[in-house]
Amino acid sequence: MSEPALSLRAVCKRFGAVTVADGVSFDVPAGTIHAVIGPNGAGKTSLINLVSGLIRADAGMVLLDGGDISGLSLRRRARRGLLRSFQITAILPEFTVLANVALAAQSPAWGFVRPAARDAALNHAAMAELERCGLAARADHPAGGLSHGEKRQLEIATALAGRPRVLLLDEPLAGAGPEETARLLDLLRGLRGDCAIVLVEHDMAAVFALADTISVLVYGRVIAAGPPEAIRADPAVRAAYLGEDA
Amino acid sequence: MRRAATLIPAVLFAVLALLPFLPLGRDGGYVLGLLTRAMIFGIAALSLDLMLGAGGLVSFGHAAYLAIGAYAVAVLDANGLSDVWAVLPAALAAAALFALATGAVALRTRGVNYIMITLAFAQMLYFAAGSLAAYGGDDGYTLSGRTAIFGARLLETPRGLYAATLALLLASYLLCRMLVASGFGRALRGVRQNAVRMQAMGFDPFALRLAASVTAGVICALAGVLLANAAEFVSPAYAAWQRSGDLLIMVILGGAGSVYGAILGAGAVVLTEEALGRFTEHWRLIYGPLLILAVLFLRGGLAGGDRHRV
Repeated sequence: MSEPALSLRAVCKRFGAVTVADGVSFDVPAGTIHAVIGPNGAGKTSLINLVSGLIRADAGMVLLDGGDISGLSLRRRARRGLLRSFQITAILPEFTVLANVALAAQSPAWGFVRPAARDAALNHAAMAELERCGLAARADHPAGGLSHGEKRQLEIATALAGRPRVLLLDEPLAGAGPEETARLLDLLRGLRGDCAIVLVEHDMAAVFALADTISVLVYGRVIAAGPPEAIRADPAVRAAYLGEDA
Repeated sequence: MRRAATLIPAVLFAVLALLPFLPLGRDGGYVLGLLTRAMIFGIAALSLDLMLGAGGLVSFGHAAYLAIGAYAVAVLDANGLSDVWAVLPAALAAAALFALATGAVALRTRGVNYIMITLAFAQMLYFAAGSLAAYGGDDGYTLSGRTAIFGARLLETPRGLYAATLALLLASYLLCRMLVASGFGRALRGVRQNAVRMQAMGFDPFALRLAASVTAGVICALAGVLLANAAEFVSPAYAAWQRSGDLLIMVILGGAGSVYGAILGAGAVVLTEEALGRFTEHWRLIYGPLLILAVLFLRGGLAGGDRHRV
């Protein structure tokens, strides 16, 4: 019961001479939001890639509900409910918005006979996620024609349709306008409680408004961790990162 | 757009079904023979479109499956077996095995490497067929007769073979259409667009591509069986890389990913070759520029970029 939904234990990763993760550890209890912040090149996206299984750690462990998933591929982690969005938007551009999300709801099953586009159960589940993410009106549009902010919403809807235990969001607010940002923040707030969320984000106002706990990453190393108030007050963080606007 | 996807194939199959009943006169056998050949390549092109159009897999060795189907007929014929109950299971099983074995290796590569490795596997088959002295080696093997259907020699007349080919073309078309629209087909089309995204959803791109390769190989072997019957002759040339290239041209000219476009493309290539061939023996001089014009001006092929979006 007390097992955190996601745990990192001393995760390390080097690319040649560059260390992108240097003994990173943190716990994310179910139903909470954990933000990872840090200056450019701190290893934030690499950390999401390490946790999601897109790249493998050199050392350390990733635990999902207490079970070691360090050896599993991206696909196998996804099947266990560890789902992610991508910083550089990864959608299926030829498909409609609805088909993108329905496919995530379909995963990992594939039948050979019935037409997938007319599967009412999948479409219903997909439509529910699109409504939650504010994209219902765009359901029948080709996903490739969406605006940048809408693509970010589609990324999240796609991840949600897979019924995540843990959701990894790689800069979901990047490039979104003020209106889209407000809507995405409402959405993320609404997701708290459904699953554990790891959020990598540059928008500091958003991070401090949303996160239950924060890790500050500099050159692959966590230099501070704790609740937002503690991070805001931490002198090392102020020096390394937050600067004058904290 | 999707209306065309229903209308064009319906009209096409209606015309093909009515044609044998028209008074074709002295040329009847020739016309039916030519259309039979076009339809056989239609089946082969349909199967390649499953890989290329839906799966994004540019196989440059698809003619291997024509040869597998054809040699299944030849090998059994040489051993006194020429009934469909023996020929079809042998051809389809051999094709499935070859697709499984070569796909397991080839699908670990992408892009140009995949093109080269599928080409290499087909060339291996080409040279292997050439060394089969018992079945004519490089000279090929003349069948003692066409395949019987449970004892009945229905394929011996041009009309009989035409009818059987049309039935199998229709069955292959309906099968491919069903597969492309199914959950499997949608996942396969998703993998073509973004394999990493599909993995992040929990799909297995390798398994999806392998399933597509095996299905396509089996359908194409069916075309190989028909091709051997149409010519009553089998030779290693069936597996030659030029033949694989022809199949790619058919799919791309017809419109990759549209399913019925593959049939249009096969018909266009076979009939154009025949028409130009009657006109001059240097027909490739005209055929080449025609292809270039088609690629330049027929964006999306004869089917006009008619693809599934859902």
